[in-house]
Amino acid sequence: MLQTLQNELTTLQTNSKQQDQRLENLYMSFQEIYDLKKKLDNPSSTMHNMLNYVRPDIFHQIFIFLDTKQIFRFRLVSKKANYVVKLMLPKQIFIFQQQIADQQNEIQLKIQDIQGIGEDQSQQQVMKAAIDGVSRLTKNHIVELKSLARPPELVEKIINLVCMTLDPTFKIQKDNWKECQKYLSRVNFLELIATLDISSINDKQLQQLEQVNSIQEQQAAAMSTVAKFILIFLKAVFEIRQSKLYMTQNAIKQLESKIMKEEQLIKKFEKIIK
Amino acid sequence: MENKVKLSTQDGVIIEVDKDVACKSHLINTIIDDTGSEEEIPLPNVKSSILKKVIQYCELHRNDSPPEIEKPLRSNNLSDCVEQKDADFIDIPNLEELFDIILAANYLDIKSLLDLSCAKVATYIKGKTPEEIRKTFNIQNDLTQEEEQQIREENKWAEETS
Repeated sequence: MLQTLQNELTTLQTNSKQQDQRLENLYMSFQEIYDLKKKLDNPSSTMHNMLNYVRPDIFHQIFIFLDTKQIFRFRLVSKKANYVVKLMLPKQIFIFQQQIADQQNEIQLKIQDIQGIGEDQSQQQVMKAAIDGVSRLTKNHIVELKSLARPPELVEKIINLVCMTLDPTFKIQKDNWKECQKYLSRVNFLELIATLDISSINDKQLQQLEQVNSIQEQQAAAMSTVAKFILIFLKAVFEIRQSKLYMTQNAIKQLESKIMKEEQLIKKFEKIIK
Repeated sequence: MENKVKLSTQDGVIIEVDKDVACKSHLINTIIDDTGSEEEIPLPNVKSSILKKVIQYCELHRNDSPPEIEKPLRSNNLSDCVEQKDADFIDIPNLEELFDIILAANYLDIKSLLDLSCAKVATYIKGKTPEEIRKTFNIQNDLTQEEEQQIREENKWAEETS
């Protein structure tokens, strides 16, 4: 009996030693992995000053992967760093100039492309009819709609859509009636609709506006006159905004805005070089 | 033998490598086109240790060309921007070795490796303060207070616009 217990105790001690050894090995492996990861995340300082070791044009290759803010912040590292960044600027100006020339050509092509299209008469008529419909709405119609504590879901959806169309920051969400009411309370709400600049509707708004196609005019008319006329208006807006003419005009606007930003950057760069 | 080329490095080591792997380098490709692949190709600007890493990369992409890396980088973690095998390959803790790979890729004209290694160095700059950058690249700050102030003034617009 004593012998058996003695044997078991020896076995237990051996097992315990083996487990301790395994734990130690595991700990060492973990430490190794941790050290390696730390090294990778924070590479040790280099022996040489890398700005002297590597040509400026190599640093320019690295800068390509950084945003403007970070590249310019690099100037604060040292005199040489400032020099390296400044040396890059004429090349950047040249790249921007080329981009601007390409974008201007693209604008010209787009202008030629839409010259033949002209205004679509039928679309313009639909739009005119839609605006006429909205202009038939009175302040009383709006007050009546606004006073509803809980409008039909479809009406709420249409008002959400018109608010989003008028204001790109407006967020469409469920139970959003209070936000809609704020817009309906605006004195010039109907005027805002009638004077909407369709080309100012961005792609995200257009994507959301597509929902109007799944709503029938009769459905809206059965619930609210305001909802009906606004729906007709939104449908016309969507049709025109997604037409080739508007799409191209928008693309031109975006290109023009890019050119403007690039021209501003060129001016800033030239100022720094001087 | 026809499918192999011999590359002679700066430190006098001859490395034999498959022709299709070596030809990932435009420089080597041009030399082979001009003079054939019988003779050793001298690469006086590349050390053997670095050439071995470059060959490792070329073998990694023996049958494909890696996609362009998005510019500017959207993350400091290169795994978010490139294929995992490339992120693993370029995880080199020694910055000098990393710069040697950049120089070799530039000399050998391997654009994808040049981009990958430059992008890796960019992750050590992105989001870092000037002091952190100085520490990483062993650079002494020799700017006077006035110079620093002038740069800050000139940089104002960049800080505001981004």
